Amino acid sequence: MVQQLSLYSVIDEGSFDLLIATISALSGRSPVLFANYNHVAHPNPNYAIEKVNAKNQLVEQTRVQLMQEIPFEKLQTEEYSYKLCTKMTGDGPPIETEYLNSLMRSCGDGTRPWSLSLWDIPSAGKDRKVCTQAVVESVVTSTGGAHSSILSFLAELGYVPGYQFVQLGTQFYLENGIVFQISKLWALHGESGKTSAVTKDGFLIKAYLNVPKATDLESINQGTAHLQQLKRELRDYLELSIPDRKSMDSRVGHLNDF
Amino acid sequence: MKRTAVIFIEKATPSTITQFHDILSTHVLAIQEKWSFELKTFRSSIKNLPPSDTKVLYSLQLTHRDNQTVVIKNQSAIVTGQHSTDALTSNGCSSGFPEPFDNILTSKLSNIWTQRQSTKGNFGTTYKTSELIIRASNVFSSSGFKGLLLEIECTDPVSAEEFDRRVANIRAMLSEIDINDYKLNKDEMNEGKPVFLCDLAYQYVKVLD
Repeated sequence: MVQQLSLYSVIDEGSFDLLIATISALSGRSPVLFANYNHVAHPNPNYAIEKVNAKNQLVEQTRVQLMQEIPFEKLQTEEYSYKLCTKMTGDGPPIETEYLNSLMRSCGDGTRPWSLSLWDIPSAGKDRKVCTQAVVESVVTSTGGAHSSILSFLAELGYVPGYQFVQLGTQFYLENGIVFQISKLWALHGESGKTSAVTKDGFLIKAYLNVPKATDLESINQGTAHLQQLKRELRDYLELSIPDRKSMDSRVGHLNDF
Repeated sequence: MKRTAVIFIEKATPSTITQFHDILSTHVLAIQEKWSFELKTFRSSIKNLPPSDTKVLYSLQLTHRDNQTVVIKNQSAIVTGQHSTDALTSNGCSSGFPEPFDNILTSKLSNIWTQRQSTKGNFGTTYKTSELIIRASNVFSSSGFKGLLLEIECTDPVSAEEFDRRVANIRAMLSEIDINDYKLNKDEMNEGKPVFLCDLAYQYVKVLD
């Protein structure tokens, strides 16, 4: 199981250019644009699902997250660089919502791979230096059958659509494998085509790295140290911190339910 | 378009594979890589599932198809691979370390899906003839020997009729070693819309289940 180590922060829109300049100077790397579509599904509430499996182990209901990149040709812009981010001040992403709403139903040759992941609640503990969250992931490369779409398959699995959002932003690949993301999020409200800005007037900052194995303590300790170092370097300017782990709990039926 | 068929001979003995090897050997151009498969059957543990809904889900992993895993439930199938794509990892979608989907079924989704059976073929042989690629393996489950499985693949872009003719040659060989009772499947999961790996997995499920 992959462990993701991360730290988060937020900035307002006015600070964007300075942050880009700071991280560019600090890392000597250039910012690159990225965009993804997210669909979070949850177990069908009409189904009676036990909290234990056949071996009597506790297995709680967990949401499933599907993610797919949004190709740059789908972005409604002339500017394919980090500068696009300064122009995304509206309630919607610069992407056709019709296209976004069609992704989960798409089938056949046009289907691109999906990442399907299930996340644990981040590890508990008072002295945590970074947010540590375990994730198990499969990459779905194609779909088949008479009902050939990722949405139909999820329904067969026992899952129904939950909520959708789009993430668009810019990221740096720092040394030591750290990815530094500065992004905006928009919630999509289904077929109506309505969208709303989650990160209105600001940007979400996430610095993270993935360790392939939870048992690889050396890499986890090293990654933690590298994130701590980044936190120290940016200390006077940006406070990278650990979010409330309950807000990142993807289990169903806990306090975080919407 | 590649065409495939899967044959399962339940009435075989563990040595039938040797007989098949002998009768096929005059046609073999090359013996290629060893291969393995594992078919897992899962049953839904949802208590109030509508009676019309199918309760069974299959996952099939094939070593000779880049270790990809096909998961089939009712009329829907997905293929999960061993690798992520650059587009996914560079857009923050994937950690870059994906696992086969049956790992998720047996861990995080084991409250909904319970594994019932595992049917395996290990270290089967791959024969290349002038017409076909034939993979043969003895099949085992937890209760022991189950039979002999043949996966037949045609990589030439031939018509369905020509493929049938080539498969008929294999069937003639089987009948020469007195094997006439077996299951054969070459269906497409969604008739008229072939999706290679999903169709192949569907054929495995149809003959083994």
